[in-house]
Amino acid sequence: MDLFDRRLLLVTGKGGTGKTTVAAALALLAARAGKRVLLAEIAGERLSSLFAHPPVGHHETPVGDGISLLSIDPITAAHEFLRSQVGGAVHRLMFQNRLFDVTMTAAPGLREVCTMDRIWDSAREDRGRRKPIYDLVIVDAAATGHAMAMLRSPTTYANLARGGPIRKRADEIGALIRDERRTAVVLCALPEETPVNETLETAAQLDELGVTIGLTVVNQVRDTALDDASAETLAGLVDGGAPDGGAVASRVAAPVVIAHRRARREAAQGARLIDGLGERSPLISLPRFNSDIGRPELDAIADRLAVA
Amino acid sequence: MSALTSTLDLDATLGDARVVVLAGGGGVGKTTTAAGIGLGLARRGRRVCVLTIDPARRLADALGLDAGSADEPVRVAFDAEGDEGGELWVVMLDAKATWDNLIRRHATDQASAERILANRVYRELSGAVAGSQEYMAVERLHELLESGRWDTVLLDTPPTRNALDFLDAPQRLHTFIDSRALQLLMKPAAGGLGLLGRGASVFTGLLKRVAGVDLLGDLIEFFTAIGGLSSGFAQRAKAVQALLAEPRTVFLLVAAPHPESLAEAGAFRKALSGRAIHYGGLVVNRMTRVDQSDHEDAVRRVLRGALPDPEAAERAVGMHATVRAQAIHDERLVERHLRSGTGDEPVLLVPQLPEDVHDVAGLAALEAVLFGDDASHG
Repeated sequence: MDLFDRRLLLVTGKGGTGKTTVAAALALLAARAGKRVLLAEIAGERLSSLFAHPPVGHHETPVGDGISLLSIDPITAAHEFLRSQVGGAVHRLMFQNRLFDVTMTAAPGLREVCTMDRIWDSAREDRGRRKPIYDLVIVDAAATGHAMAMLRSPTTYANLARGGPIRKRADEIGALIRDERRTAVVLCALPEETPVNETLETAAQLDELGVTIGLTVVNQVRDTALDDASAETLAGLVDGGAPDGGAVASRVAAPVVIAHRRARREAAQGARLIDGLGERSPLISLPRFNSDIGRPELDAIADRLAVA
Repeated sequence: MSALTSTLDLDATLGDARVVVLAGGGGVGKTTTAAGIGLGLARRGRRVCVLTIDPARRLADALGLDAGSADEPVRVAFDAEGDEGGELWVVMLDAKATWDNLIRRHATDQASAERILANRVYRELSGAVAGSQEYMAVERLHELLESGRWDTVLLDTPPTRNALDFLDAPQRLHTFIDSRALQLLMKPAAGGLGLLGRGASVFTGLLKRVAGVDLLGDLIEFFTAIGGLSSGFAQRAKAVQALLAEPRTVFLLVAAPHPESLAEAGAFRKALSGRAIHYGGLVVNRMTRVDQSDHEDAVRRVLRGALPDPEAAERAVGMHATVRAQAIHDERLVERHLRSGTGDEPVLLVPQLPEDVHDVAGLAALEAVLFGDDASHG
């Protein structure tokens, strides 16, 4: 099914793999297709700075082009969630003190359940008349470890709690996450050994959880224009084999040879990722951008994603 | 254009360092840099231990680390010809094992240690308290130094978005253990506070109903058990904190030539500046380096001379131009970063190496670059 026919896309990957960029480009692309998109992140303002917008905080903020931004504050989300579950009076009595911190710390999965609840509040088809409806919520999720903890949190909490309203909501969220028509994960990777390993491990964990991978994006891929034989010839110059003794030749050839070999290594890592993922996920490669990522680059990336 | 050059001299900066802390975001090559520096110091006659959090698998394999050896220092053999008899060891942090050791050491007796180790809250604690892994890294560092087996310990920190998570971890952990609110709960009937006592039991019942968990039961058991070791804990947290501020503890930041990575390094630098921390400098890995002095015509002449096929030669010229543009871009990013700071930040530019570092030979090549023993160093 089409990636954008879901309600929620969670974009994750190892640090530095371009999660934020990919999440933003996907949002632009979905908005171009006429979707009302909420683009959210957890504790940070990377998205607003990418869109050259002042910080948005814990508020859904339209930024034009059919996109709204939200920076979820996990603590605020937890208070909101508990208030909705137990009512204002009980919430005040129970959680407006340091015990709140302790409860959050000691109840494994609770903090993440609260954040997921906030995300699903935005992703609901029906939010009542006072809140905007979105066709698609895209979350620039934290690095893989934390994102997996979030996806696992309903199960973690269910293992701990025997009943009660929070457990009930955790179960509902768990069902939404495992529903492939509603939720998909977008994995970001780099064509390097460790990121590829980690991506494959994450894919296996998602399988175990029953969560669908909608797309895998390999970022910062570099091509080589050379064939291996030419590269080897140039490598000969680097080792001092040039006819004139060759300081210039060595200086010129060395970076070309390094770039060629790196491109080949990256291609091999990319192939390993494709092999490892098999049928589980479509895969797109994006080139490396030498400039800083701003709006024109995001549009260009969205164009690339549209073709794929 | 004027080429950017390295100004950070590791020999001088780490001359008598006892602790070297490497910090930075994920995926910038921290572990590899730590191992490379470790090898360099070992080759200069020091007994070195590198404490790492999550090494890339092939590097871990090459260094003799596997899942079974977590928490145990492993000695790395290297070609020591002409060296001064140093040693290189690596150890992978096992945060849980470090926690357990800490509890066993501070518990009054075996039985209370076992009670804590079996408690559900305790079992979640190592993952749950923000900065817990960071704290355990520093705690383990302290243990390694205390053992007296090493002259220098390098710490490859967990990738944290927020520098303060790492620096404040000891204090935060202590605050959590020491939580006043909990002490009040634990003594619900303490003199004159009977009302609070009743309030607390109402609270306990409510929380149990809402959360579906007898959380407070476990919490109270945990804090009662850990209460006895709280003062030892506090002292330890202070000692660990003090270790980070020692003059012979040097912080190095590691980054990649990407705006996000350099911004992270800048934020970390800012967080360090208000503290009694000795900052060594910034290591920027994976710099694309191209000598900018050769004119495009000279480049074309060399590549045409080498490659008989004119099309292949033209493609090589194009690639050289691309790589050169990349090199200029990387330099500009670093220059911009340096200008945005104090302006005197020592920086070490590590060029993109021809091969990934995944064995001791690779580390030796990296070490030569890091310590400037390499002809191509610039």
